[in-house]
Amino acid sequence: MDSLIVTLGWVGMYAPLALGAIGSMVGCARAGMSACGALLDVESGYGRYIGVAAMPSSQSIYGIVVTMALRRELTVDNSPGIFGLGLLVGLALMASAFAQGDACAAAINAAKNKLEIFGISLAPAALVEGFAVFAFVFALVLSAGIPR
Amino acid sequence: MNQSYYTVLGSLPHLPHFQRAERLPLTRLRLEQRIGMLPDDESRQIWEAEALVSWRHAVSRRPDDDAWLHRWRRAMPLIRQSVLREYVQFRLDQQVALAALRLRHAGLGPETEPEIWTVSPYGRHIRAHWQAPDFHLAARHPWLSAVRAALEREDAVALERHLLESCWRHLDRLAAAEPLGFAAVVAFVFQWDIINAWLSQDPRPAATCFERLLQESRHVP
Repeated sequence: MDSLIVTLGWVGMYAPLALGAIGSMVGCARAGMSACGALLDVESGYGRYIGVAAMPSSQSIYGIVVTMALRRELTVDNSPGIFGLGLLVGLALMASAFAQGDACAAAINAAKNKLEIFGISLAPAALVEGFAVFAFVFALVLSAGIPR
Repeated sequence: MNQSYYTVLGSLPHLPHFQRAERLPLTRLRLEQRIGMLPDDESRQIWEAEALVSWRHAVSRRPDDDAWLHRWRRAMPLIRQSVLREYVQFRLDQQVALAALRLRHAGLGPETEPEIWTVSPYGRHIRAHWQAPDFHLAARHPWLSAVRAALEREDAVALERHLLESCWRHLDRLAAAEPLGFAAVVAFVFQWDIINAWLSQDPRPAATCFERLLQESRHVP
């Protein structure tokens, strides 16, 4: 039983990075595919569309930081907390990266037809980023309460 | 979920409302190239559906045309995407209701064109409520009243505009349900078709064509 609890601790420790990376892969792929499609339809400004497609990569970075904050010697006492915190923040990062990929794809579709809305079209993607930051920051705060 | 919709939708230009469009934002060739980025099966289904219910084909089609009915029977099992089937069925329902309105307006009965009632589940309902102004379908098809009024006024342009507008709105609703998916691609293809049909009704090219035909007929040896 103890080994199962410690195993779950390992899962929780690596979950933010793994799930954040999965989210970033899918999010960047969706926004990137939309950017590639936009390149077929515009005559200039290619760089800005590819740049937008990179936005969902930040969830991987948050995942790395949370995983490093959770890193400690795993025991029966701290593993349940690490599992719960790590898994939930990982899921939040993954979902936010998916959503941000869709928001970026929509922004690219809108901005290529009306360049003057390029900045404001990114607002939904920035809002999604804000929720990822909430999950990230509070994961760091709560991780301080898990016994070393 | 198929990710290629992101690329295809990213490559498609914005479509203005058909009444505001001054030109086609994309040529037919380019449209076919972009839709060709979808998996083969999905692009094939789109073109099968387009061949059945596009406005371009509707112009030269008689509703009792045996060849068209044969094509409909062959194509419907091949169109498996639910969103595509829904739109095809909407157009067929619309065409059946319009055919019924035209027959009634001409003083004919439902027995005149027995084959057309088979393409829509509303066929039986329409025959059963032949004398009702909108065949008791206005709640489900709110465009029917405006189309009937245009037909009674014999205002062909308004009738066409109401039909196109109802299809445009239906496609808007489809795209809104899945803005980065197959439904949005389907909506684009058929809204492009609507713009194409509307722009082709420009009276200037029609007048030029009529003049040319007139000249040709005058110079027949």
